[in-house]
Amino acid sequence: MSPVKIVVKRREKLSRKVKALYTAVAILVSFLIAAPIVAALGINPILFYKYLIVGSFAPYSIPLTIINLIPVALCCISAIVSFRAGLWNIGQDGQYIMGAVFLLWIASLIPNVPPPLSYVLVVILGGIAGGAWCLICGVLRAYTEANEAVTTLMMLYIASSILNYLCYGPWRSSIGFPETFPLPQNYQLPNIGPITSAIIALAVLTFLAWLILDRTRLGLEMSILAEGTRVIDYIGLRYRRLICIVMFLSGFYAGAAGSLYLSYAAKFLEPGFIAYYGFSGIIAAWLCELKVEYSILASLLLAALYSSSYTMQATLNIPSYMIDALEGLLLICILLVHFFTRYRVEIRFISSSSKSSRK
Amino acid sequence: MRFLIIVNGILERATVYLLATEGSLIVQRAGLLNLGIEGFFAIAALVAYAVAVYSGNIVLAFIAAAVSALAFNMIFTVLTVHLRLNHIVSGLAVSMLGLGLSYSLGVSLVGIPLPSSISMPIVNVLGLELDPMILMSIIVAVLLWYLLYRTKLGYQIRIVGENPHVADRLGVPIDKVRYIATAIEGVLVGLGAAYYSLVVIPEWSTGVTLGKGWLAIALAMFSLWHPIYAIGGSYLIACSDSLARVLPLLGVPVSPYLLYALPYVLTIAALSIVSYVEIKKKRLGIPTALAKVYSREERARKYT
Repeated sequence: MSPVKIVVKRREKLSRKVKALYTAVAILVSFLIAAPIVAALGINPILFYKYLIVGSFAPYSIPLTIINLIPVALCCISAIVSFRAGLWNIGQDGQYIMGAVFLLWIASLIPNVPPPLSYVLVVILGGIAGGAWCLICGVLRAYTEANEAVTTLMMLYIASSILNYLCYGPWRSSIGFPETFPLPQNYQLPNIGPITSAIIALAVLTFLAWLILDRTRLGLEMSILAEGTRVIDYIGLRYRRLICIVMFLSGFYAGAAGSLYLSYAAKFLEPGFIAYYGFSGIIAAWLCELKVEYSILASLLLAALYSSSYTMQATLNIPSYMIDALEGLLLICILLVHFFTRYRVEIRFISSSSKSSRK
Repeated sequence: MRFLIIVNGILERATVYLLATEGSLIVQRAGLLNLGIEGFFAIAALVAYAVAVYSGNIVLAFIAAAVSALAFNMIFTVLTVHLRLNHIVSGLAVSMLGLGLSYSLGVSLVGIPLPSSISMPIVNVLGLELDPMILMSIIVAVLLWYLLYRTKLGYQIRIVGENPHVADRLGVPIDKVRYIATAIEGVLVGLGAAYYSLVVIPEWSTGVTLGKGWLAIALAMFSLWHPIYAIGGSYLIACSDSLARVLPLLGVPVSPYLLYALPYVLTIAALSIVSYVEIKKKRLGIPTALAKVYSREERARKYT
């Protein structure tokens, strides 16, 4: 026996304030760990921190942060919807692509829809395509029990192959770059002042998600589903149908993120359209502890990382993948918070007398 | 001649898939769903390339890759085994950290070719000139089969993946068994990743390993969690992979971009069929406790 014994015990529920404090510390710690990595790239960490703040929250950076906030927040809600039900949709990026692809296709067929209606179509078309893409995995999970975490990931690669195919193949409209034709003017969401009007869509969709998850029977059924399909069976609910509904809803939000981003920011598709907002959304979902009401706040932090990564790439020549490393660190630190708020670690020193008595 | 090049390409890719799949297979058998494989695959591929460029020694590069993958995989193990955190989210975190680190630190290696001293030795087997890694990957598969089905450790790994509570009652040291499984995974995936960046590709560019690690997880499921079937699965996927490069060369009017999706489509289809057969009460190898957090004190909470 080693003289030190580490005991892990479940602890009482912590107050919200203490949890918030722990989370704040985790965010700071993850940023501090980033310093040596940045230094390894040959960049002054002080400059790194400076641009991290300036690049996201300086007055001229705020519109860019908002542009990134919308897809991150919608992917965050998409993750919340599925995680709450104990389902692991982690292919938000695939649904995001399919939402945008479907919108561009339909919009090119009917380009003359008048504006207020076309804006609604942006959300609905994208959402339906994303939902359908995710529903494939939902159906497979419900009827064959294929692990949805793996299938949604695989579907992400299939979606990105489709995106590449369209950009290099039938939809290519520029000779120099693999870019598609632009989205028809009627479908492009306008700006209100410096900020995009898609923020209204985000507000409405977030409110709807909160309503569904926290105020309806469906939301309650979803949280029961998380306890296991057998429980749902005992209550007499049709869990297969419920799995399909949850996966569709989850995909809907990720798909809407893609179509909205195409509509207010990207305007056309290119292989670089996939910006991995989905993974950031998953981190945000974990950061806000799967609570829709805090999702925008959590997503704001991730969106800020995105917009500062553009600034840092331009000014400090930091590769954009650096931000992924930072996001990974952030998620690990948040996970540690989850552990330390749920469990208490006790280190016991076993004295030599008790050690001998045990023998 | 062209035919031989195609066959060689399939063999090389299958070797990468096979090594990574065997690694993923053994941790899944121990009940861990390690999505972090994408991250340490990238880390190991970069470490192998960097060591090869700076030292010019291929053996050293392989060893460094295996060690780095092993070390990096320990983050996942600590998070899930000791800290009882969710496997999927922990795996994603490790993946993001690994991808981010390897592609941002690897920027300086983009465009730097490997030194000429880096080449695989060739062994002659039955008149065929083969790379020793191709043979080794198959030997590894057989060894893993022996380990899983013929040794005490293998039995322990399987029962931990099947039902950790029963394993605990039987006195199996669960944490230790899971550590050993992830250590084996780290080494195998590290070797596969090194082979990928040094022999299959052989160059370093941003995003070069994307999707390879996660494909291995699906391949392990596709192969029914059986080390010998994994040989077939890896070679099948490597064949479909090479179609994407070969068909356009032969003048077949198929977009290579759509063919890149083929391995993933096949994997989803196979995974669904396999899972369906399993729920129809045909015993396959599915580890029942896969991706379930084990905590000794909280039995009632986790199993309903």
